[in-house]
Parts: sequence; structure tokens; C-alpha cells
Amino acid sequence: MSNKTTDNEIRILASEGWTRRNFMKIAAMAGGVAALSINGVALAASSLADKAKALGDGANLGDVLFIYSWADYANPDVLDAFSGGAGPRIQIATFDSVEAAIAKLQIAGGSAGYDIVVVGDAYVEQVIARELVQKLDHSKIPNLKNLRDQFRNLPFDPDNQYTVLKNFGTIGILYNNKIITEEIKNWDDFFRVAASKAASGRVCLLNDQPSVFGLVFWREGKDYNTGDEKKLREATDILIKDLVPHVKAFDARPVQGLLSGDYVIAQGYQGSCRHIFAQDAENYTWVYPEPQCVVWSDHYAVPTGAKNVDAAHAFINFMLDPDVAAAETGHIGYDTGVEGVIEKLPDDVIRKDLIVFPEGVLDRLIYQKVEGSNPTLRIDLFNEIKAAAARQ
Amino acid sequence: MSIFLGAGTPARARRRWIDAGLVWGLVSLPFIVYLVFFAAPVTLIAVQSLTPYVAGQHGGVADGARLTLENYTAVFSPTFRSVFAASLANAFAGTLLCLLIGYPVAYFINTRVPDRLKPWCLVLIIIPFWTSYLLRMQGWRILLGANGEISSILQALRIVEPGEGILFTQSAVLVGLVYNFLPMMILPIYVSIERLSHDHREASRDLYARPWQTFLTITLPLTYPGIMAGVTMVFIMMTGDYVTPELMGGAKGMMVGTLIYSQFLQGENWPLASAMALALVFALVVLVLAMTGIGALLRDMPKVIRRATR
Repeated sequence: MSNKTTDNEIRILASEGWTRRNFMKIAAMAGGVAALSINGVALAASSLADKAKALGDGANLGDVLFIYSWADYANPDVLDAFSGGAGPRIQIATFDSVEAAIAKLQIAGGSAGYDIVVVGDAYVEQVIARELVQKLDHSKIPNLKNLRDQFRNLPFDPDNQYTVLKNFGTIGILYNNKIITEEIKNWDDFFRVAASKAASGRVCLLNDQPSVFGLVFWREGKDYNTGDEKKLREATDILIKDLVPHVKAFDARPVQGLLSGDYVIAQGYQGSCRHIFAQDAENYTWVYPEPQCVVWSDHYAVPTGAKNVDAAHAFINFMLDPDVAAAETGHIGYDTGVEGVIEKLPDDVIRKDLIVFPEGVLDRLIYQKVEGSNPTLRIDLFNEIKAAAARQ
Repeated sequence: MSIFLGAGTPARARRRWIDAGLVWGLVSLPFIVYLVFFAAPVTLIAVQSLTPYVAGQHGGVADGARLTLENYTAVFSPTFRSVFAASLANAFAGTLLCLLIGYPVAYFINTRVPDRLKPWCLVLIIIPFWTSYLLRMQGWRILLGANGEISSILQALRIVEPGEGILFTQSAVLVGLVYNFLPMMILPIYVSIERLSHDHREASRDLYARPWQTFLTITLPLTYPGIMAGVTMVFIMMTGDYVTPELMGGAKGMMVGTLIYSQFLQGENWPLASAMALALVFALVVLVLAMTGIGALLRDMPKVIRRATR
């Protein structure tokens, strides 16, 4: 059904004799030029659409696939290729905190109308325990075998019964190397430089409590998932005393603030920080800080009571195809964990070292855990930290 | 005659009753809808605020939950108090600025702009609000950023240090708040000045009142309803706004709304968040009543002074 409508739409848009294939090629070329600047991936969208078509053959995948995810967290070309080839139009609703997303699913008693929800690693156990997501049918996801071994059968979801890795990443330090001339290697340097004259008052931290408390625990190589009240209060005191007086903002996307000169050093996600090098390759330095940091990952899951379960499975399967995964990785800047993705990334991709971790980095990264971390207390203390920053 | 009347009365009376019922129904229906959709959520919040926190509970009341006031004692933590004080300070300053800018603007459009241009002036005030809120805020962020145009001018004038921006300061928060809520101040004041008969001011002039006397004793008191409508609306909305302060103030933009949001959505502590929300509502009611009282006093001040000095 929707295939037909899309065909008609294209005929109206384009002159006679144009086929979908031609249209997709043009789109791929147009997209490719724009994509090259940061993504460096100019895979022919038509070949992706063919793959999607092969997946959709013989199956009725419905008209719409609703995805609940972070904003700007998917390659539009990949989504179009899926819709064009497999059928269902994709609608994405966005959330700005995982907790809010889970709350919404919980209030709705399941799907809330979504067919796929993107869940952070630390929350996977929670959504499974609360029965907010359903078991996956592995017979509909044959591409699951493409996932690298280390990303299958993760501790929080043994045998991938409920979730499949979307992509993973880490946090690091991004700073203006014209203003901060000393080399930064670890979190201790971060604390020291933040308090220096060059950076004080122009420091940006991420706007979520695990990343901010992490600063204290990572620096000392201690368990940053602790729920111990005494340790958390001590960390709060350290942050308020040593770091908060120098903080300008709590911002999840610090690139704009760095470019505009409002920040000179920031804590950030490596995928979103990578964008700065497309605009200014010289003046900024990225650091994977020692001795410890977080590895976070996001996972596809199908909410309980989802309407279009078949399309959800087809989509997850599609995303696990190495070519699709490479296009996705090139766009969002995070490794999807699919075998062969790294090899398929073109050489001219900007700052490949921010997509693919250099040797040794993954070994010092630790997963976040929510269970046992005393989130209620942490939120209170984080508010205390932010209130202290507001008073400065 | 009486026979005719007697024959007509029961039918006519019935019809009148039906009409009255219909009118009543039509008039009260929206009110009932409003009551249900306004009162029901507030009641839920109120009930929620009196139940203990249960991990993982979103809305509703846990089975066998007892009633408790513990959330209200938790509300008045030092963090809440300091953030609440900051929110009120922001809202007061923002409302005052809106009034100081909004009144002259409304007055100017009413008294100095030719009639046929007046609607265009009002449209000009509203036009920016046809673009997305986030785009407008983004624009301000660029202008006020350390490398932005406004900051460059201020740097050149040595008002701020070289390399420093206005963005993520208290001033930026006020710029954002005033920019966003100014029309809410201008429009009601404009309407109240518009309603003010020109004759009053003319009479005052004919009686040899100087312009400032006319303004203080005639115009200002008579436009008091518009001022109060604007002040109340702007003040309440500024106190509750937390997006503008966060976007413009960075770390300085912590508002009471941020706290409530974090407890609802990140802490998953709905009872505490509900208690915070209601505490905010009560505080606002008290403050607005106080402001109305002070406003009325100020309105009557010229009269009182005149009597005293007579």
C-alpha cells in the first residue's frame, strides 16, 4: 500500500520516466555530497533500498513503523532506504532523557504507540524487569550473527532475548588547544585545568548525574556505580568545592559553545564532539581520558504491545546488515558493533579515531549500572550541585 | 382574554423552562469540561503529594499506601529554598523590566501612532512569535555568546572583559525572559489604555494639570486592571519557565521548574515532585494576592497624597 503511494508521490515530484531507482540515486548523490563533509560515507542509497526490499519481500510490514529514540540519532538516508525498500514509513518520536521515556512507557502500560524504543544499557534490566519490552523473535533477525561477539550476549540481557545493540560510545574531554596549552591526559588534569585561569568560568559539564559524579570516581579509578551515601556525599563536596566554581554550563552538546568561545574545555560524547573537527580541524583536541571512563551503549527493543512487531524485527535486522551499519556509523559517528563496519568506513572520514576507539581505550571503559546506585539520592545531590553552580 | 392566557400558559411555560435549561446547559458545559480537565489533574497531583515515595511507581497510588506529609518536609530542603529564591528573584526582575518596557510601548502605540498604523504595530510585536521558540532562543545565544555581535560591542566598550560573553549569565536569563514574555505585558496594558476615554485626559488638561499629574492621577490608576493582568500573567509564567533560563543561563539557569522536572522524570519521585509543584502553586497564589494588594495601594497613592496635602 504505502509503496504505491510513495511511487505516486515521486512521479508527481519528478518528471515522467523517472523511476524510484533513479530518484534514489539522485538522492544518494545529493546526500553523498553533504555527507562527505562529515560522514565520509557515500554508499549508494539504492543498494540499501534493495536490501530493504529483499527483507520486505513476501511479508506485510504494515504502513508505519514508530520509533522512540534520541533526537538526530539515525541516518535519514538509511531510514529512507528502509521505507523505500521494505514499505513502512518511519516516524520517530524523540525523548531527552531515558528516564522520561521509560516513565512514558510505564504510564501507557507498554508500547505507548511505539514499535521500537531505544534503551540505554543501564536501563535494559529495568525495562525487562518491568515488562515494558517483549522477547525478540530471533528467527526474524538472522543478521544478529553479524554483531561482533563482544556485543552479543551482554550481561544485562543474556542471549539478546530482549534487546539488540544499536551503537556504543564513550565520554571524553574536548578543549580549545589555543587557549589551554598544556596537554590533558586524565581526569586529574581536567580538574586542574578547569581551575586554571585560562579555563575557569568556561568549563562545560554534561547535564546528567552519572557523568558528573563519574568525574570524581573515574579520576581515582573507583567504582562509579556506587550507591553508598557517604561516598556520594563526599563526591558532591569535592565537585562543589573543586569544579563547580569554574563551571559555565551543564550541556549535553558542547560543540556550539566551544566554537562560540563560551566554553574552552568540555566533557562530551565522542560522536557529537566529532562534529567540531568538520568545522575546525586545528584548534581543538579530543582526549580519551585515563585512568577510567564509561562505555555506554544504546539498544533497540520492541515495547510490550507494539502494533507493528514484524516491521520492528525487519528494521532491527536491516540495521545489522554491514553496509547499512556502515552508513549508519558514518552518519551518527558511533560504532554499531557490526562485524566489518570499521573496514567499510572510507579512509577520508573525518577523525576516524573518534568513531573507532584506539588500541587500549575499550579496556579501561566500564558500563554504568542503575540498580544499586541509589538514583534517588543521586538526583537530589546532583540538584544540590547544580544549585551551587547557579549561586556562584 | 383570560381564557386565552390560561390556555397558552402551560405550554409556553414549559417551553420557557426547556429554553432556560438549554441555555444553562450550553453556558455551563464548557465550565464543567474546564472543571474536569483542570480540577482532576490537580487533584491527582494533590493526592500524589500526600503518598510516600515507592521506587518505580509512576502516578497512581501504591496499594495500601498511607497518607504522609513527609514530601512537604522534604520540599523545603536547602536546595529547593535557594533555587526557589533564585526563581522568584528572576521572575520579579523580569516582570519589573517587562512593565518598565511594556507600559511605555503600549502608551506610545496608543497615543502617538496614527490609528491606521496601530494594528500594524501590534502585529510587529507578535510577529517574532510566529517562528519557533527554540530558533529565537538559538538566535539570542549566538548574539550573546562570547564571539557574538552584542558581546563584541560590549567588549569594545569595555563593559565586559575581552573574550567574555553575556551568554550563561544572570543578564542573559533576564534578556531571554523579558524577550519571551514582553507581549504578554504589552497587550493587556494596550487594551486598558485603549479603553481609557480620551475625554478624561482632556478634562485633566483643561483643569491645568501638568502632563505628569494627568498621567499619575488619571491614566495610571485607570489602566491599573491592564497592568495587574500583565504583571500577574508574566510573573506566574516566568516563575514556572525553566527552559529559557536553562538555555540562556547555563549553570546559572537553575529554576524551580528544573527541580520539579528532575524529580518527575529523572528521579522518578512523583510524590516529591507533586509536593514541590503544589508548594509552588501556593507560594504563587500568596505572592499574586500580595502583589495585587500592593498594586491597589500604589494606585490609590496619588489620591491619598492629594488628600493629605490638601
